[in-house]
Amino acid sequence: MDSLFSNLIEAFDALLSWQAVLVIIAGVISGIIVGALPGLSPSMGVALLVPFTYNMPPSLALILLVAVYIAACYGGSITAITINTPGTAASMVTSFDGYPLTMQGRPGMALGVSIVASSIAGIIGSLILIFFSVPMASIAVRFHPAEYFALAMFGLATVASLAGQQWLKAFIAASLGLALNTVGTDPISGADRFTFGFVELSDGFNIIPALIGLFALSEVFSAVSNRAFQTKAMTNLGQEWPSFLDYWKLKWTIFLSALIGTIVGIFPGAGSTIASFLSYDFTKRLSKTPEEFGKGSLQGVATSESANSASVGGSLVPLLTLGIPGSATAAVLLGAMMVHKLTPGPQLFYSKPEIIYELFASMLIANIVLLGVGLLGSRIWIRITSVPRVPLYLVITVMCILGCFASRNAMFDVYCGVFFGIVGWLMKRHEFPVAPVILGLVLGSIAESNFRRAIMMDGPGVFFGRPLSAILLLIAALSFLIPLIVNWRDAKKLQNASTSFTTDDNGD
Amino acid sequence: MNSLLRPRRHSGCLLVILVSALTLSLPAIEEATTPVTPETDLTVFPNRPIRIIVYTGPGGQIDFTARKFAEIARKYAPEHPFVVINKPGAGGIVAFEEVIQAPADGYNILAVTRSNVTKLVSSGREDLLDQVNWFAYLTDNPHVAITNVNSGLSNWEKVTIDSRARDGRQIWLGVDIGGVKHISGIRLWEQSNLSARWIPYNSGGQAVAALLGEIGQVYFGNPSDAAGNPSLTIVGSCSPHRMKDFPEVPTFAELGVPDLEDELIWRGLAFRKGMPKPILDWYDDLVQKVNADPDWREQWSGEGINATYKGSEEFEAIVAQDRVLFRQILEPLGLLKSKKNGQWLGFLDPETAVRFANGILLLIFIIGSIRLAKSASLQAFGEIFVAAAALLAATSLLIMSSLLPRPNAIDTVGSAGVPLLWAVALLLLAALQIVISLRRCSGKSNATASLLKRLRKDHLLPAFFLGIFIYLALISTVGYHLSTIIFIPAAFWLLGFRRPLPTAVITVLWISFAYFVFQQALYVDLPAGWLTGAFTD
Repeated sequence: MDSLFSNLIEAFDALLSWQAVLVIIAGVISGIIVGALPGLSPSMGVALLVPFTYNMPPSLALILLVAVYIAACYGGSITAITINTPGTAASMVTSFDGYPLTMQGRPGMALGVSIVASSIAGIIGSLILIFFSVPMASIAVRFHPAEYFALAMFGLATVASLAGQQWLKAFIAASLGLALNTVGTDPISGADRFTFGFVELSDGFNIIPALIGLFALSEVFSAVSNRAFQTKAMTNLGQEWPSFLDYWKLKWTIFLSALIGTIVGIFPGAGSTIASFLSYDFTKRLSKTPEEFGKGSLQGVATSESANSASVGGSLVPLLTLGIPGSATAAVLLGAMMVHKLTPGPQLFYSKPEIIYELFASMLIANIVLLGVGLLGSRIWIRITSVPRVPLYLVITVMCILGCFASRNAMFDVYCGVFFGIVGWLMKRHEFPVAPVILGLVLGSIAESNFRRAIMMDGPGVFFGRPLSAILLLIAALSFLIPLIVNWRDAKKLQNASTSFTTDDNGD
Repeated sequence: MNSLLRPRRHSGCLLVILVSALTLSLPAIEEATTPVTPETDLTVFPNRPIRIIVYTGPGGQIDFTARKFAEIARKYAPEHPFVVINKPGAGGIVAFEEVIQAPADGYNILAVTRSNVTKLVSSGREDLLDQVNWFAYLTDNPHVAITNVNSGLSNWEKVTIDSRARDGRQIWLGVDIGGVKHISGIRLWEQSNLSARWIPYNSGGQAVAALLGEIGQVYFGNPSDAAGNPSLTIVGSCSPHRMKDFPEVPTFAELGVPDLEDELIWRGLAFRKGMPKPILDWYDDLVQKVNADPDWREQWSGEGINATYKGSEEFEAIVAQDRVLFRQILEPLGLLKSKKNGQWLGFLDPETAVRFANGILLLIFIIGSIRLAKSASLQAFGEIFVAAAALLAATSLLIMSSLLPRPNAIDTVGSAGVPLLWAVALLLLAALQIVISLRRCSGKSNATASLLKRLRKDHLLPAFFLGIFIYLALISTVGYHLSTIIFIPAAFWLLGFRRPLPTAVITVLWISFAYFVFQQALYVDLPAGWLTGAFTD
């Protein structure tokens, strides 16, 4: 432990040069832009910057790329909060409460909480990486496919509590996402499924156009349909920022969500989206004001942002300790390390410890820089909300179309984006929630491939034959059933007050 | 705000916008429409950036190889950059089609691997293999068997003993079923009389994680997968001789398992056929220089990758040989896409029958919707319509699942198992929603009449949809920049924002942003449009 601290102090010393600080600032700014632009994922942002690092020393190169990764995870929340257009899949959860806050004329509250929660959780995730990476990685790799399946089921069960009274519509949306996820090449046998002869569908529906369409384009279509072109009035921007007390109230939410985010991030292939959903669900259950979730809860914004930012530290755990990329972005980082002749894995801790510790130190510094840049930048982002609606909606439309295209350089994805936009608009109009569709799309392949892998390895009994899998499945079942029972009881109470569709269409 | 929405009449405002936007975005359009005539090719090649198309997303060995090639090639052709474009999809089919549809002018290179050959053979798209010139074989590495030393399987002999003890239940972790590594694995099992199960993971990284967690016994992949982690050891390699970077690793030939010397993964470059000879010569010279470059060779040392340059003739022969081999191996495994699935009902083949059934379902859905629209309120109709669309999708999936391969002894769930599960869940839930909505539906309203009344009163949304569809069609026809210059002012006008100056400024700013940030800085390959292509060909 002593050597860890002395190595870290040396690393901080090395990083306190103008070059390193400049590189971190450049990385953070680039990352925020990449994250905020729908269609550009953190992995694309990192890959695009790799060529700029060829002539840098390896440590500086890694610092730049990790700073981009950290900031891109936060960047997605800016557009999620201000214009309901999540820049990344994980920031979709931030929009659940962030956008309602904007609609209430309080975007500063959401932006302030999101940047502070992101940075603090990023630091917590980095500290966990620094101090506990080796034991945690060795536990994570022992996860059997049965346990991954149970984890996916756990994630899906969150639909029950997210849905509230609209549980049936939420289940339909989630099942639709799961069914759409089966389009494309079968992950196990390689057979083509439901592609209708479209080569572009061989890899299934791309998540980015689905996200852009269901969230952003549908919002534009709703606004055009309702001619909702009035800018939301914000009486006093200066007073809308969270106070220290507001942040202090969120300390446990941020801490617990950061823990969940880091732990989920460690599992290769699990990802920040599941982390955000699980921690949102968890926080909602623990909250004293669960009814505020989805309507503009600061806890909701904090938990989602904390979990997805902390998952960065988590995803670097298997990369640095075992040489296994835990996420798409970590895979690009692995490639970047190879450019600089660094082979990640336990040996790197012995052969090039200075690189590892400089990376650790830079993660802490990058989160602090992110806090500074984000807090200053929030004063700029907030102005998006006061832009006249027509130009704003039009810019969102062209940005969505460009974003869909940029995700795979394919027009097909643009068509998919518009298709999902129309589907999302229809769903929202009739009170079908759209987020479960994305959850189904994200979790469907994890659930299916691990379900089949587990059975191929050890037969169908494996799910209840392994204690951890059985416990996780039991918790998933409970977290699925309990909200349903509560809802059913509430619904019974409200039965007499239930409305019917006998009204005319004027109010539609 | 009202002033923003107040219609203003300015004669020629659209013209002002178009002229100003066109003038300021000229570089973007000029680049997209640079004529490529054979004369300019031969005299000043290259005169614009060269695209290296990679068939995977960022990350992974081929993406890395392409980016390294681009970096070194810039040293020898510094005038114009080599730009790596990721075109993932269908194991390379999307990237192959992209290069084949582009002119054979040398500005589109395809980064290829041996995996493309298996994928195109197994998916019945061998025609694509014939349409490219397999130009340069750049690197290769043998496939290797890796174990976790903590599991006690520290050498090949122990692996074989364990395999016999497990009686066919030894688990080999890898990637794609029917992929190049799976094929090599099958050949290794055949040659060594081993019996095991291949468990495919989504990526090599996830499979290595499972090996470290002792979820399986062997991982079959690349030597670099074992580098840097002392818990992992390579127990045998398919290399014809011991690898320079891993001299302690025995070859399978040394271990008494013969004829595996060709079990490797190669990476190289290909072009669309029909490229002019001077450009081919230019590339030949460039590839030779890159291959001899110390940075290039240094990059691959230590990872078990050989920088083994082979010219076009030899590369073509290797691909031809692989095609035959993959067909031979994939066919008995049922992994070749068959053209015919046999007859059904004596006269219909199953695919036509499923298409027919889907058509009937769609018809029922349309007729049902029209009938319902006459007797439900607009809100109830909308809710039932969405649920019925979900029901239609579920039923269609159920029917189409009948075409999927049946479960087998190893994959007992099969391709259709999980889709069936989700489809049944969706079907039941959607049906329940329809029943609930119908029960709450009074039957006295008329959604069609309400809808028509609304449409007559307000047709902004349908017009906006139409505008977007025209915009998408224009992007494919005249390219991104020109179509956006038309779309933004037109959409502003449609939505009631009729102020020429802000419209022009926003249009120009957006076009500049798309060009400089997306196209120039982020290398997003914005469409140039087929009409532009037709003019410039």
